[in-house]
Amino acid sequence: MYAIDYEDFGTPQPAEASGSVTVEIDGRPVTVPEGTSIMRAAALAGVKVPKLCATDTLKAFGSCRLCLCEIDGRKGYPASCTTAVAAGMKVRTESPKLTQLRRSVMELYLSDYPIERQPTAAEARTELHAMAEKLGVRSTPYANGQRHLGAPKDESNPYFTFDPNVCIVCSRCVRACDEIQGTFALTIQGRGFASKVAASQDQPFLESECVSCGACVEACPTAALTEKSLVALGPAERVEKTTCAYCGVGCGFEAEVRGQGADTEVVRMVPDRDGKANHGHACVKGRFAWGYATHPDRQLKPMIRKTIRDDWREVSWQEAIGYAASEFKRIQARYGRDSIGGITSSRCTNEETFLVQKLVRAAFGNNNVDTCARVCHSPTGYGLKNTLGESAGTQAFDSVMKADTIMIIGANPTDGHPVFASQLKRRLRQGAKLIIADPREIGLVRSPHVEADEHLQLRPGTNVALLNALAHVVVTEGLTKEAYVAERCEAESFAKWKAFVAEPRNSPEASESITGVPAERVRRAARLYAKAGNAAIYYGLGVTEHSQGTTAVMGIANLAMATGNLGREGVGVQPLRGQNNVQGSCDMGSFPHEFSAYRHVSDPVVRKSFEDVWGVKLQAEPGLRIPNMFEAALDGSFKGMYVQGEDFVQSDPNTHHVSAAMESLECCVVQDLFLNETAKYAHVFLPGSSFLEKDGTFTNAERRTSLVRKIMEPLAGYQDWQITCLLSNALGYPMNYRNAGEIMDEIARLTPTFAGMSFEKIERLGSIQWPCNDEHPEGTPTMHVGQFVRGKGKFWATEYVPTSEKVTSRFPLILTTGRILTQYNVGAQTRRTGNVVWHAEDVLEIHPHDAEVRGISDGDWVGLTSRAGDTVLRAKVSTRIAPGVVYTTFHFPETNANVVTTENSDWATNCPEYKVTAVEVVLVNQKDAWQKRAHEERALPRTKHKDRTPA
Amino acid sequence: MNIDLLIKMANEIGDFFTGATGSEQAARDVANHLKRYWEPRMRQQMLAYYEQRHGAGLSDVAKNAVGLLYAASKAPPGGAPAGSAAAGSATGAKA
Repeated sequence: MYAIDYEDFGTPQPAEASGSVTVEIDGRPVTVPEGTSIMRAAALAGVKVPKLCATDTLKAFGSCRLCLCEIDGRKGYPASCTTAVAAGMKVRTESPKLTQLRRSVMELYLSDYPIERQPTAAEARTELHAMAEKLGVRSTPYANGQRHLGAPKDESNPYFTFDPNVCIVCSRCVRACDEIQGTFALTIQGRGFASKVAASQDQPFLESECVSCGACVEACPTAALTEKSLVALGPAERVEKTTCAYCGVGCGFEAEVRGQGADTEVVRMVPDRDGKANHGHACVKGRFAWGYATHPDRQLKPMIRKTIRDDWREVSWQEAIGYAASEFKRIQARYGRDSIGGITSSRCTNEETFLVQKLVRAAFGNNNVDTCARVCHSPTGYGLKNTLGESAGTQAFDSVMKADTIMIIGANPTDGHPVFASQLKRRLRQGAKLIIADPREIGLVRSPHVEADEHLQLRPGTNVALLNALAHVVVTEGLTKEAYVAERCEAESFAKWKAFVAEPRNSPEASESITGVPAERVRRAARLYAKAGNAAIYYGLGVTEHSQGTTAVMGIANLAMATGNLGREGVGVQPLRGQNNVQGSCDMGSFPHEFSAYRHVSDPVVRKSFEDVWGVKLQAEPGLRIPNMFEAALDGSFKGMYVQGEDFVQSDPNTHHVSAAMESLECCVVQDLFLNETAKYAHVFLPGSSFLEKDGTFTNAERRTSLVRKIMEPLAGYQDWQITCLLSNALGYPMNYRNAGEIMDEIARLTPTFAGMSFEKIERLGSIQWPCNDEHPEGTPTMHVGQFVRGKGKFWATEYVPTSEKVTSRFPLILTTGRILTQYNVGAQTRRTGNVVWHAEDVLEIHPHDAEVRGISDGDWVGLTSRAGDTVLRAKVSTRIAPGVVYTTFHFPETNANVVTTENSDWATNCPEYKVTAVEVVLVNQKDAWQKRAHEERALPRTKHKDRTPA
Repeated sequence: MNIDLLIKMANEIGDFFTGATGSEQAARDVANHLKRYWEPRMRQQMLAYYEQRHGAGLSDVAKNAVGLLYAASKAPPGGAPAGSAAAGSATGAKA
């Protein structure tokens, strides 16, 4: 069923047409690209051909036979969806004969459909009913024949139902699963009359391989597949475009809503077909898991308390803001200007993060601002800046459709970036080669119609050794693109790098004992990458979250430069950003050493440009990073924090250490949707707003800035940027923006890469990839075309330095962490949605060998211990990880894998080394002591009064 | 702050630059990195430690780097900033 404002052209636009063709349809001339179907040409001419199995998101199928037409000079009645136009063709889509045929077809469809009963609201709006009505068919002469009615409805999925009674077996759901999502979970089972749609081995949807992306639901022309929210709430009244608040893909959405003002409610979220990041596709989180926005756990009133042992007291906004400001002033007066700081959030908009860093620099008067990118992609910023010249990915997502070889390092796109993964899989099904470097057998290693050509299953912590080995093959086998490098890169640094990687100690054979990857496999992978016409690297936190995270990013850039794989479509170095606005929050100057657009605070010219606009003197020294803030808190020199939309007590490593630091603060202000783990240490709680309640922009992993629109009024009264303004004004530094667009105007004024952006232009163009300036007024899909941003590309010799985190007899296993499709980051959002049916707790994946020697069976409680701490979770015995390695996710505070992770961090950026922790795993029969304490704390009432009435 | 952690961090920065640019240039690069990315109280604590314990526990490169910062901190106002010879080499041309 379609979004309420969507026009369906029946079949997709031809991929690559070389010319155009003029035809006549029902007497109307129309010129279309070669290869266009008659159905699409007719739609473009304003003629709607009846159809059921066709839709413009899927390849033509020619099954339903409703779209028959007549063509002058041709026999019969060809299907207009599968027949391409030809020059001079004259087509009729309406005639008495065609009407008769279509009515007969429709009567046959309805012979196995409960047409006699009153349709539900959802059924009445389907294409089937619309077509029947158009053809004037309200009954069927075959009603007394055998039918499929009475089959049980599958309600297992939390978000949609499957009712076989109203299924017409048109295959649109099956094709959507295959062509759009690439999961191949659905099939038409049986032959002839026994044909039916089945999930996996005729299982309930919930138990099948279905990943609940919803593409099948959207494609269904009947109400066989229907969103439960649509059934519960009824049809939407209007549509508002916005941008998803989950991962760094940044999907465009159309929020279908009903009601006005405070009564506005979302009926469903439909991926925007004009969305340039997602092209009408979505995942289970973006499409379905938005219920957290109105979850009863939302805290909607400001609260304060004198100490973190006290009960919360609900107060007015004025009192809360006033208290926070007075505490920050008191702390600075007593402990000095640099004793407080602030944290921006990658879940908030560009405008909101820009304001928080402005508040810290201008109102607090220091540079103690940092962001959650510290713990994910800060090495990307440093590594790419110092090699290519810009702290961002080089490509648009669409670029992957021109890649011949795709290398994925330390990323799990089908779980972390599922919509991009679907696009990636489309390219792989077209024949692109795939190399995966990952300690774990991620989904892309082997899935339906996709198999990695090489899986380099390296030991955690050895990325740099592997990258050097790959580079060794490239250099010693003469696979470097010398002319490209000579033209675009520094000769001296290239020569040094070549000499370095060519050393025998960097050969695949020498590094095999370090990485665990067979040398010949490394050699094959290097050749596959270097010899491809277009080779692209996509990487994730499996690269950055290491003590050598930055070194590995540089190693990746080295490889791409040496093989000429930068500066055009189909190639590139693309970090897969974790959160929706990680790129944007970094762009906006959230790091303590940089203003927006990655300009160092010590640069007097840049600093003056901000001082002129902001009207205050700014500091030239870098501020504290998040882990430095914790250290400073423990030594007593850091006493206050303003935390907008981040939960580092759950997300940051070494939880006990972080908790001790937080306990030492005299004023922590948490601004969030929920009372999260960090709020346990807060003195002021300011209720934030969800992405549905605010205006602003997000910038995704491809530097694409898209509008976020206020769909409903903020439940607690204010958008997040307005709360920052209130705090700033209370501190005596005026912020008086009338709307979020004015903040973007200031960003554009002060940020060269955003100079040409405005809400008006983003609205007009749909989205814009920065840099957007006079030279590129409509943005820049591909970076480094012609030359690198820094001028000449710089190679760095990337010496492999083993992490200090080593296995010992006490801690003989390596823990590495990651994420799963249905949960998101610390789970604050997804844990409050139906997604918990798939993943209700974090589990520990352990290889059968390691499990057996410890007497562990699947589902057992196991204790996970490192030098930092202990936790208890259930074991999942799996061959997806190698012996000696265990794996878990970090979505649930009840488990909190970060109790176990350590203080180790990347040398350049302090990004934590989440991916390598030496641990032991033992069979246990009860939860750990801290977990019991945490459980008891959660069970306690947190406020004396709590209702959902806004302040 | 925890001086052991600061020492570990400085040594790891030194490890990278030693491999990347050679030990002579590395000290200047490390000094420059500490100046551009370490908050002043972190540097001050490291300098105080350097003064008191002569950089015990620091690798040669890290010790030389801190020595450069220490010398600069003792230089009269207007003197050349520590690590200035490395400026631009370790942090990107357009930083």
